[in-house]
Amino acid sequence: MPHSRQLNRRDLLKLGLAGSAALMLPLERTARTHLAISDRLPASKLPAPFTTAFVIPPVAQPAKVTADADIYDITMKSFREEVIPGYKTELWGYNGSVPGPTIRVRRGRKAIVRHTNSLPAAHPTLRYKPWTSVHLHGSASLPQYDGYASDITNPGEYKDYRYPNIQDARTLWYHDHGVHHTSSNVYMGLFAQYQMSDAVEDSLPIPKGRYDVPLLISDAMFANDGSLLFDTEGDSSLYGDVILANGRPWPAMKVERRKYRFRMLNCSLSRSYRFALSTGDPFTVIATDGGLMPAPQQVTQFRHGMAERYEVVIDFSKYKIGQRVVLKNLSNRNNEDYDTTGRVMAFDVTGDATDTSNNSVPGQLNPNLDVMGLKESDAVRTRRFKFERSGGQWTINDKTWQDVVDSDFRFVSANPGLNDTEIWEFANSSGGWFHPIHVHLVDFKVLTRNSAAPFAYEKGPKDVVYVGEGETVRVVAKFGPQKGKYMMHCHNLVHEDHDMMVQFEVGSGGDDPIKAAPAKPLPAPPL
Amino acid sequence: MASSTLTNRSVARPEVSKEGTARAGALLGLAAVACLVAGVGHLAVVVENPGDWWQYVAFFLVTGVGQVACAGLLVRRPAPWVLLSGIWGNVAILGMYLYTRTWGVPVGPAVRHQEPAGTLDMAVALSEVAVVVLLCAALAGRTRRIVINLVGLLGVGLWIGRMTGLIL
Repeated sequence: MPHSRQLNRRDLLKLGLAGSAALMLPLERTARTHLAISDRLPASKLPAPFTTAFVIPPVAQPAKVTADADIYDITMKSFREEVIPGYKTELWGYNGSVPGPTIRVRRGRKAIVRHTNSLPAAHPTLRYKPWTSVHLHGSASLPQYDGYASDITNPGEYKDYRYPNIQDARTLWYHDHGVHHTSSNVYMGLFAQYQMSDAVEDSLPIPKGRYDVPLLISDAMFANDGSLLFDTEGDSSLYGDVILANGRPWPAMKVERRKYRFRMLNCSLSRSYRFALSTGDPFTVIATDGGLMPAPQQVTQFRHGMAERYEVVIDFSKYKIGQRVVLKNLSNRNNEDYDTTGRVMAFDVTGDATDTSNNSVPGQLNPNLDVMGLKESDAVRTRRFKFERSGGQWTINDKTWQDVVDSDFRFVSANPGLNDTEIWEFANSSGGWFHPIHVHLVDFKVLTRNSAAPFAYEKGPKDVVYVGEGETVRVVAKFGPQKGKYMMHCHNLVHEDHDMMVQFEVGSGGDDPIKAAPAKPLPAPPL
Repeated sequence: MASSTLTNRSVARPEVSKEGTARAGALLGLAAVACLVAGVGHLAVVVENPGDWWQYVAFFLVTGVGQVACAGLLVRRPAPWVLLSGIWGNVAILGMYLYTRTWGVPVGPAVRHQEPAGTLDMAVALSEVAVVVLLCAALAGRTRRIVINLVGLLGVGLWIGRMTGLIL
């Protein structure tokens, strides 16, 4: 009897069950994921580029000034603000501002900052208790004032942070570092600049005053009701479709025909940028994370990872009045880009310079930086750190912050002696991700990137280094001036929270980062 | 392996009739085309993402080459083991696809990351489903019944898994 190769109804049903599962379940899963963020405010509701005004964050005023210290009182609180025109967004800000107020200090004068956690009892959508820990990024603070992740301040508590301000002039920033909630706390707005000046900087004829502009760049996505959407795509990263400059979406800044200094800080959780000017003209990079470079560097574009600071001078004198120059984002490998993320802000040239003082960049800026004088031969040892995703966690040499917690905070990944000089080698051999690596306490000098010289714009003191996919970066640092336990982690804050963070201990006998100065319940005594 | 127990009665028997021969040839030809499409789709992923983690690249390379080879064998040497390998090989690939789109990528730097279903991978998955259905149709006798029942059972299991929340 001839065999029929036609499938009967029962066969089709059986095969259909399997076939439909193979095709429909992934589709359904994707659809559900999209539904979760389908509440995202559509691009049509976002403001047209360069229609919002550029703003400069407020400057914090000290609550008290003593002979050797400036004392500040800052409260973390929730507030609602119109970020996207026509929508109110709940934000968390230092003193109710996003970015928070800029703290300006002078090298050699101490600062005490009382940070009070007056945040609500729970995050509006993620429902966690918003404990905080404030890290002054770029400061050689004692361990108990460094924003150690597990040294938390709960809502209803306060902590007085003491900062020595003993380093060279630089742009620091303070931001939340509370264990496991850093990304969402920073996303809600807990970040701000902290600028330290000194005599060396004063002596230079670089732009100052209103021509010295803080520029904090971040990204976010918004729901239809205006609230912030927090989607980390399986604890991997958060990429928003709205680029914010000083908290405003794609603003336009009016500039005069002269040079401006921009203290650029990438506050995004996961997005790196590749900045370029629409005119193709160069930026003059004058400072990096740890302050002024030995000499300025001219680049037409540069890669800017999270938490890195690059201070650039842009010369608008060559443009005509009425001309618009756009700060573009050419992006980098491993980012998730949208149609809206290719531009950052615009500069509208509105008139001639009203002040032409401090309008140049000398060929030498700060040639006497200790860290830039370090040589490979100064190092007493080399340590290697491997950054990868393993077992669902982001790890450093197969360790996570949980390993540190499980050891009762005893486990350290490195133990350099006080004032030892060491080479640290950071390797990111796994594909798919980049990791900006931040080493607390110290400044370092980038020695090599994949055995080649660092990029021109990296030739300054650093505390974060971009370790791109497939890259190995070697840095040299002198470990001091404080003793104790400090963190090293990826500054993709989603990675940090899950759980790409370890600690190292400088010397021995340093203060305990958790027990030496714990947060206290309110009410706080007068400052 | 089941193929060792197969006889010629398990697969298309071209000598049965001219009509049967033509139909078997058409089924195998279509299955070969679908398998080729799936294989090329996987190889395209390798070409597009050569810098990915080496085990991901190796997976797509082996899968793509295997499917292209399977397509060739279906045309030139449609032995029973080829048909069964084609069915279970593609079922396994579909299983991996389903896993990465629901539970997430099982290993490597993207572990737990749930890849979204995209146009290319949906087209490849559709081709693989077509390969399985066409090759099942090309089988004969008891083997065909067993294979279709097993595939059907797998389908029931997947849907029960989804309904009970075992599959996200």
